[in-house]
Amino acid sequence: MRVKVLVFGELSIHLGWSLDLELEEAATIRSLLKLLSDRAGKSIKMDDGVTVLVNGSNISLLKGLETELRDGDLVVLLPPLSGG
Amino acid sequence: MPRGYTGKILDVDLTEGRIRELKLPWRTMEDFFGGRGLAAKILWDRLGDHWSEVDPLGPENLFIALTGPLTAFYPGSRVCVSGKSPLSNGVVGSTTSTEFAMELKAAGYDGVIVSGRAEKPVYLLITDEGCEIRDASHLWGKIGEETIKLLNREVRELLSKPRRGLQREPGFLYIGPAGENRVRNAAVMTKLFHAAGYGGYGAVMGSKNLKAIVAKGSGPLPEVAAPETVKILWREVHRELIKRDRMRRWGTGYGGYYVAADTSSEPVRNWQEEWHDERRFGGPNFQFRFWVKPYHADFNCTTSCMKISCIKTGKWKGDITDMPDYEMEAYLGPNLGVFDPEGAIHLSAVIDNLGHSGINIGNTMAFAAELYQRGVLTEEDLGFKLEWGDVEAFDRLAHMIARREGIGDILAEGTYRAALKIRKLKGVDVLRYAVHVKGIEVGAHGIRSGRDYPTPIGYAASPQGGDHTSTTRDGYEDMAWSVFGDSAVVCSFCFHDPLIWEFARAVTGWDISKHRWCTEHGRRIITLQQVFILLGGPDVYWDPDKDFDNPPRFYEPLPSGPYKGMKADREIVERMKREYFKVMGWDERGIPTRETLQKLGLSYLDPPLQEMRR
Repeated sequence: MRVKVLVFGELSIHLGWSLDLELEEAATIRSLLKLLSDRAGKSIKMDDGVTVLVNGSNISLLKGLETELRDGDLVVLLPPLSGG
Repeated sequence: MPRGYTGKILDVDLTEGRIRELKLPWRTMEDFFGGRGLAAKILWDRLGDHWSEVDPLGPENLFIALTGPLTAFYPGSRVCVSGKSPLSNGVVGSTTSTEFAMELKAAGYDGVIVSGRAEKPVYLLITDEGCEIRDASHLWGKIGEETIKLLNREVRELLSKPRRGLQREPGFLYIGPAGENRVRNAAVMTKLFHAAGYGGYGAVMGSKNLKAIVAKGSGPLPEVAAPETVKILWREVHRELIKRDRMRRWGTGYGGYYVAADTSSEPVRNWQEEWHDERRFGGPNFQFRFWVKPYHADFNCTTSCMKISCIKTGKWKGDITDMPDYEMEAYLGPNLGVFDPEGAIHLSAVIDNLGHSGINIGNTMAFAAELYQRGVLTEEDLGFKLEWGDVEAFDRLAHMIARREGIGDILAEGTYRAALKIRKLKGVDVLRYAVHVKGIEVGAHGIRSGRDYPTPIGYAASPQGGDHTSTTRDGYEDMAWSVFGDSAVVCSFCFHDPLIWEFARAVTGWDISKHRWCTEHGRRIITLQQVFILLGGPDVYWDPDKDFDNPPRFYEPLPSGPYKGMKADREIVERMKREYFKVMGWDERGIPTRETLQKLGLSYLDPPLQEMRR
């Protein structure tokens, strides 16, 4: 299945800002992050303040890292909130 | 009795000269919390049934200054000002750091609501004894520094007791000439260089002939639900906040260089570019020549991130202001083509004294400068040349706008309305150069490089438009950041997860958690704010199909820097926006559905929305 990933913040330096990925059928956010970590050459962990959205919903409101992905989903990685 | 609150709000009618005390139902306080949330509710209750007709600069509008249950307990005391915004015709919760918040609570009040209009300039004096409306004719027209000096002396003398001497300095909210002359994006000022900048509430105060509100309380703060727990948490929070090294060391001012050079999202010359490599503009260049106080804070704040700069020699000797503060640094610096720290400090001091909002007026002045660059506005229109980087010219322009002289009268309407007027006058479509969202000039964090924190819909989908402190993210975490900070009323730079939630429980005794706040209270408050935006009026209405969008400039490719060529992607903006609306329980155009309103206890908002839905 095809999934589009948008990467904002510093992570985009390592990953680029827009990826169209082919994933296996039973892909979850966990497996997606692993794939992206391998590509980026660094580990993308949740406690680094990275927010993950699937079709606009924060994965904390879905099934966290076990959230399943479907064909056509839009996954967005956001940097930590700050302001000023 | 809800804990953390005094339980009383002052309700002042300046037309009648009448002062009352308002006690809100506990349920309302729990549902809307305080500050931004509670102000929105009060505005709906009083003005909601004819919102579109209410003139923000007319006597009917309310000027509201509210604290929240955490104010003066949790680090970083702030007050939230609100009302119908003369810019967005919606409701913005705009906060500023000040002892006024603590003094107000100590005097026995959670907030002040001001309606009507005084015949002559007045100020309010709030003490333990209540509220007095006092003559301010001798203060009208005075700049910030003079206002504070005069008011401070006057109030301290008034309150001095025999054998006990003068009271310590009271807390103030005041406006400068900009607010007095109803400059639409004027700020509400406090402590010389603190401003509640977004929303244009300085103009609302000005329209009521209200020069200042002064508070001095001697009572204890309200009771909290679990005092021993609060004491322990208070120490914990301070211990955690003091670890925020970079924030304490530089404040937001490290951004002046890095937000351009690194994330390429700093406005340069009215956002024509977002990258620069001017190493002379950034933290260290301010530190060694200008800093006089490197750790400045307000009541109860640990983070103490503000830096005070003073120009000690030369033609601008004596200028004192908080610099660098990133937004001021960017908007009165690179966005005006100014890369000289001294110039930016001078402009910041000028803006503070006039009572302008640095972000908003910096945006409007840059807009004017771009029109000059393109030959749409001429030297004849302005009365002088307005070249990028010319500090004296922007100084002069800022004064003209504050006093509505010449071209200043048009620019005083804020970027959007000035653009509409100039389009009519000159027959040129200048709206494409106006960098605003829903009337509110956009904060100095661009979205084109994708490297900064606002998302592609950060401004476009937010009911507070260009307000960079309140950008839209996911309808979940974005509630925790500014919606909570603006309603608890504490400084967002003192925010600590999870301690702030535990603190909120210990103060109020209510069942508050991040999850509950983000899915219930936050959504309730934002949904209410969205309804205000949808209703709009009386002079400007937002079209959900056109105006819930980024400014045209953000769809132009960046012309320089490492992210050259990048711009906002319309398809992505549309998709993310629709997804956000879905998460919020709104329809694809951003109109809250009946089910959502019911769930949030906002069914009373449904009737005016029925006509809008298709």
